[in-house]
Amino acid sequence: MTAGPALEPLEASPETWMTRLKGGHEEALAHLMARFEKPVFAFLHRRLQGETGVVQELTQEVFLKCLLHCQRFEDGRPVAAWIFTLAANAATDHLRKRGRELPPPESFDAPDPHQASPWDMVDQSRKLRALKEAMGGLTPRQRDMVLAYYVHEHAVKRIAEDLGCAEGTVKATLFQSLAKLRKNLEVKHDPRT
Amino acid sequence: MTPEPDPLTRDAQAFDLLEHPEAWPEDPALQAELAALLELHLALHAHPEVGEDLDATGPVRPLSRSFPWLMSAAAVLLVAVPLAYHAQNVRTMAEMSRNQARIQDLAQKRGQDRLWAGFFQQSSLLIQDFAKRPAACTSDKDNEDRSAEREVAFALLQASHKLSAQGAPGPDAEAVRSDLHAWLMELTLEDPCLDPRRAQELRQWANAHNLEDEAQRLGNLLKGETL
Repeated sequence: MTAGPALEPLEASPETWMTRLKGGHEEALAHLMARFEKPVFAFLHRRLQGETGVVQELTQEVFLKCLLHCQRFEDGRPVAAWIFTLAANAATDHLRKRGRELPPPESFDAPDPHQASPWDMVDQSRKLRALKEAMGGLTPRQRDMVLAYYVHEHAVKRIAEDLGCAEGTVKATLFQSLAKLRKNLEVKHDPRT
Repeated sequence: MTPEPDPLTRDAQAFDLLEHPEAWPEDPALQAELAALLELHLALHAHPEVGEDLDATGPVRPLSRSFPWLMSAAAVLLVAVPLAYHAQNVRTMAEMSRNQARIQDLAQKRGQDRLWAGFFQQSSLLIQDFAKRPAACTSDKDNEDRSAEREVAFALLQASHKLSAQGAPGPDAEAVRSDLHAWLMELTLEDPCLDPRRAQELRQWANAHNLEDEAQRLGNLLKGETL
């Protein structure tokens, strides 16, 4: 793992780095890459069903676009949303070029666990421990659904059948669980608490 | 008017939207929330082991859905998988690092392009200023006070030397830099209190070589404004 440039604290927000990038400070790109390379890789990995070589290329392409088109980024928008949109567009273009239909999210393969995954290289054990602890704050029903969906990789339809509820309820519960996990993680890392 | 969906439907729709950032609503606060949840969603997919302690009674997860492993190969895999995993991991890291280095090289190149762009833009502005009627010299009312332009020209001449040593982003840029360099040199060699006829000659020279437009065009091009 390479250390980021020592010009600015790593804790600066992605919006700060984007402002610097737009101002011509190219070193800011390295910080944006350090922050988003792995999530973008994971995102593309899911969209493209784990074509690792292509995913690498497209991840690189996303950051190249970020560099070349940074002036198009509208201030006030979250940088993460812009970068994920660039990634989604890169994936769509790639699939369109290959003449393939976009598969529905339910049919995506999970990343191969023997491949390097997005959080493998940075601070993995600390993040995973925090996430495990945050999982403890879910209600039993939320936990069941999270386990069924993320751990056992069951489709939403199957979870709904197993638990005797509507698919919309499963999706809503998963969304609420993610929101709760995020909140629990934030509380845990808030120095005021 | 479309009625607001109930919270359950809204959350279910949001879950469907999670992996489609291109379809996210324009609201920045909502986008920030969805981006954070998407990252969490991706991390959970990539690391299902975070839930394994909570699921002692759950079914055993297969090694991978992507590969229909045969039971007879299990003994081989016990040895081969860790080796293959580490080799792949190292390859992936090396490749990611190369990619990052390539992008950083590009970033450096872009930094240099920006210096060239600055030089061209400043030169273009200087030629524009030089076309305007200046104040008269205090010492000789018939001559033009070009001390400010001459100072800028001197600074640009120094920048031109440095850029020349760095290497040009293209032959086009080098040719225009060279023309500008000659013009800047003439201006710096002149007296700050310039004879109007000599000033006119310098303006004509700049016009004949289309220096202002060329400098502006290259400045914009190198800044990426034409992308």
